[in-house]
Amino acid sequence: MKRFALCSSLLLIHVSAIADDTTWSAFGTLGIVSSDSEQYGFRRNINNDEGVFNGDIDFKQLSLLGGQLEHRFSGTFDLVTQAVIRDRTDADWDDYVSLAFLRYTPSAQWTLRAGRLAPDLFTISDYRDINIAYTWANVPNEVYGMIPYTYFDGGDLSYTHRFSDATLTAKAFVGTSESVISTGHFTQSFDLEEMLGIAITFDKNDWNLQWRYTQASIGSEDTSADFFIDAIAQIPDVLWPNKQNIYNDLALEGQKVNYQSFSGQKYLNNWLLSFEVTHTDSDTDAIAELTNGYISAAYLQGAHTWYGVIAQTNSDPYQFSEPGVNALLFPELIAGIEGTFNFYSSSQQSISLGWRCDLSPTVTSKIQVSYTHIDENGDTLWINQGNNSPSQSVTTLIYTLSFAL
Amino acid sequence: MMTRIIIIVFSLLAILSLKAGAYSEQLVIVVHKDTPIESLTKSEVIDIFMGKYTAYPNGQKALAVELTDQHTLKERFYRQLIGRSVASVNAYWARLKFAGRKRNAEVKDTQDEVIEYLRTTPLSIGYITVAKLDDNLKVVYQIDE
Repeated sequence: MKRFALCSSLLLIHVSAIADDTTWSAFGTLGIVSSDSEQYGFRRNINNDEGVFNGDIDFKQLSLLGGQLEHRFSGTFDLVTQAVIRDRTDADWDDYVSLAFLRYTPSAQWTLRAGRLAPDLFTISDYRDINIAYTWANVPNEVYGMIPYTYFDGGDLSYTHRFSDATLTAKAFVGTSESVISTGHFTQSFDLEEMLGIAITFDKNDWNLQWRYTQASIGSEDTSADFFIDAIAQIPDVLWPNKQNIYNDLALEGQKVNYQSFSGQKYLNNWLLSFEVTHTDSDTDAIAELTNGYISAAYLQGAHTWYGVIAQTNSDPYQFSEPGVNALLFPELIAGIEGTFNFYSSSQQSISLGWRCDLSPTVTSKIQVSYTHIDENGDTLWINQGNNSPSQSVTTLIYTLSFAL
Repeated sequence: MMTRIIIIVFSLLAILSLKAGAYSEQLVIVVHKDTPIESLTKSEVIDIFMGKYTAYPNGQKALAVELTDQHTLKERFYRQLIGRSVASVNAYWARLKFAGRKRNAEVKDTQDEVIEYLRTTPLSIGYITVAKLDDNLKVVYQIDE
């Protein structure tokens, strides 16, 4: 059904393309990444199954090409479609369609959209592919590296109110989203269903404050969980009582997960200051509670912007503590369960310095060096080539050349 | 004595003509003369051109018309209005447009095309120099140098 809707939208835009009220535009990024770790490979987010290791010069992680077609049926009704070509893991053809929605704007206050939309979990989620739109060479991985979603299918309704030189926008959205997550060795789908979210934006003069909350159900079975459930089922109940407790935690399907974000931005003369704090939690121990964030300061001088970002992701790793179970009897099984539960337990801090240069009104060049300290067992955001997860520091160099027409 | 008077008169004329020239190049925000709006505040103008709230104070939709990036007036307009370059404004608009939040303003190559659009499109709003003003347009905000 979803693909039918997408095909219909694409057909509509194809037919509409003949008309005068159709406009096209494009954006793209050439991204080059190098990193200095033999064990931890840099990746854009947990969707990627390949990393950038010491000695690699990577062009795939951040490079992309996008095209957008918009057709206006009337002053209040239009259609927007967008396709983005980039390296993806286990992608179907429709994963390359990032937008395909109908938009109804009866007034400046109200907007209703339905179809395929950009996800709005965190502040930059819906334009993270538009490299030219943000100051940095890459969005802070500590916050955005845990989000593999590039679209959701559903709808949203937003209302904007203006008062005392300020605007307040409230948006509610519902839908579903699909993606895969990868450890590098193992990839599985991680879909979100029954997504229900709200976003509030307050804008006044040079200030911008945003708050978001999204609740969703995990829509895909964790295939690795079946292995552990089968193994535990074979253990006598006297040695592992109350097995249902851990079965419930291992079975991700249907579990609730909550995403929350608070961010702010302020222009202060030549300075642009921004921050974001995010929190992710769930009903299951299998998804670690995460508190992530960044602060950024950028100095603008003509076509040049110099910036610094400090970012952090933090979680409490899961430690096996099932009552009545002697962990010493099943060391390999317990280690496997802890490893699975701690997949989401990212823990690292980074400091980045960069320079953005606007080569023209539509072309921007950025270079950024990031120094990241990864805590022991906190390497979720990296592809780990080793057999353990030691604490380590990694330096990453990113260059991007991006445009938007 | 007569020479001194002539010098003073010519100096005054030169200053007046310079001021008049500068005034004629001043930027103004204009709408069609029939638009039921007499004036806008700076904050309202910023909200319309930055896509934050694209309506007039009476709630009617405002249809912004924009100059192309190559036109020098566009850089002047955004520098004077919000202190930011066209590149910075474009980066801001890229997030609105490619996230599917907002539709871009109508873009024209010249001031004359902007004026033609303003004349023929109800509720449209644009920026031009004072020298281009005519009876079909109404000034709703004047940008200070």
